[in-house]
Amino acid sequence: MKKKITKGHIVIVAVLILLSLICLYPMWYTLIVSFSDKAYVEGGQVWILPIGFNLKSYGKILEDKVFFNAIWVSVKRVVVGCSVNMLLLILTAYPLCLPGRKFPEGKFFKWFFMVNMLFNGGLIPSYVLMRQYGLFDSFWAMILPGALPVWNMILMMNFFRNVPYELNESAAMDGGNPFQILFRIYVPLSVPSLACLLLFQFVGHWNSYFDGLLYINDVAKQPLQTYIYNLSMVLDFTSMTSEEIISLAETSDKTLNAAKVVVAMVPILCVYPFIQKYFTTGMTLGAVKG
Amino acid sequence: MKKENKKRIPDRLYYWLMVLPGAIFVFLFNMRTWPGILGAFQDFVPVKGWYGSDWIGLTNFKIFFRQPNCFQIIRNTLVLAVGKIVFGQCMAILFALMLNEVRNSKLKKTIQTVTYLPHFVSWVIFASILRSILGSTGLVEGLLKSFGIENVSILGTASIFPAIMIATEVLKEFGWSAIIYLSALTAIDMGLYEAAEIDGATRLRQTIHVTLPGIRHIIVLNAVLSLGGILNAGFDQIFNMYNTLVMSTGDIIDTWVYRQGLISFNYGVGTAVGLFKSIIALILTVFAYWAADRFADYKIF
Repeated sequence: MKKKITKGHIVIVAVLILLSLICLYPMWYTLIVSFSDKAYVEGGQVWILPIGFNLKSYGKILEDKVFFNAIWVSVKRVVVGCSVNMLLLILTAYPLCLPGRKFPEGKFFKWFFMVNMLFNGGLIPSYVLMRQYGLFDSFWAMILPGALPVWNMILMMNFFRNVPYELNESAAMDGGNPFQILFRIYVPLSVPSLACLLLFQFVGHWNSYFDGLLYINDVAKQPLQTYIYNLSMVLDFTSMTSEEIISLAETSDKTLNAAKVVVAMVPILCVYPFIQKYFTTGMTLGAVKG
Repeated sequence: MKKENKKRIPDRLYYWLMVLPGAIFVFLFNMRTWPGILGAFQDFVPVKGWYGSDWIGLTNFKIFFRQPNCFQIIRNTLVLAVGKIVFGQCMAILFALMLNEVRNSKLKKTIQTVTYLPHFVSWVIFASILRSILGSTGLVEGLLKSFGIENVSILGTASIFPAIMIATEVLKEFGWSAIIYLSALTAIDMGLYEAAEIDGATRLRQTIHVTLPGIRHIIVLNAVLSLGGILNAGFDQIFNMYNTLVMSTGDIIDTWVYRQGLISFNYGVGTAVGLFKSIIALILTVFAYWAADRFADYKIF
């Protein structure tokens, strides 16, 4: 059934395109600033296209050892963090997806995880605890506290439930042990959902800055997002007057900062096309079920 | 047939082996913070620990509630959180409804791709970008100056700070929050639209009488579940964007706790206020899940 295009449609499409442009603009602005000449940026002339196109900021970045070090910490964090997350996620979700008669204690564990997801001691007890564990200034301070992402584990459990249980039973009849059943049947059948969760973990690890800020004082060990936070936040509000803050902001190198922000966004933009396929699956399973 | 002599390891043992590593991590890094709430009733000193510090009853709570701007902080938190929920959800629903009218699937995909993108950019980065656009010496203020409007400070004016925070949060998240409504829209029976059309309903009428009732339960569900977040004004955003000039409208419970506990090292007071917030959030969340289960048949297990 072909419907004709009305005036209403044109208005709607126009509004939607405008919204999309607004969403895109902040990123676009940063990109053009990073390629522009500093003087034009300070003068507020750069806003649609780069003026005085140059790659100086990126050249300066190449010499910045601290910045590269922060990238390296972030990469390490993403690789190690995602591996640990995915392994624990798969291992934990499988027994909990089984029917109660197979694993009667499953119910207890489900409640255990649920209660822990809903309640934790809060910011300060966590901070004190990490200090007790001696994890300050350690790489593992960014990995271990979130080693098992509970909410994603619950999602995984729901994905695993979609695997027909008959497959499990017949594999068990053939003498497969639970590890074999999990890794040879459940995991291969859930690749799309696993990929989806992996990408969410990736984004989560790449984007987090707060643990790096709280637990890691040694600048050489801080991840990229914490580094970027520090770029603009070294100003301590409580001890500064507003004039001081403004003058500091004026002297900071806008094009250089923009280039750093662009570099920090690149990995997200790279994985983005891959995540996109799984948006709906991930979101709807998390939100509405049954 | 030969009978198997080797005794198999029982499956349950395997299951325990699988669950335990995850459970141990959750125990060590989450459950072990629970005794930390004792600190809320103590003059907590880290060296003495949660079992050795001096008990001071409810003094920590009193310190918070007696300080002059405690009401302000709670009000700021509520204003920001409620504003974000209300405007964010309305925008998401409106966006989903509009997107639903787009028939060119390529255009639709492109719009989705672009509007979801900001969700994946961290607040650290987004705030840094926003500051370069809206901040002092930023793009917008420069433009205003060229029109002769001087001395405006967009991010430094307390009266408009909450509005800016709500607007930027909505801008960052509306596309992403619309996903859930979009997927609900695809579930509506096309026959209903055809019937409405035969009855002479315009597209707008169809939206009001077919589409909206079709996604009503999702709207209600989302509204109920967001109740648990009513004290979450978005720490990451505020923490990255607030400054001394906007404390009167921009300071929220979470940022206050952070400064008390980890900048001024008043562990006890920080813990107490954090606990106060968690308890309210916990009650609301449990109630929200109960209500969602009861009225919308929503279960997470």
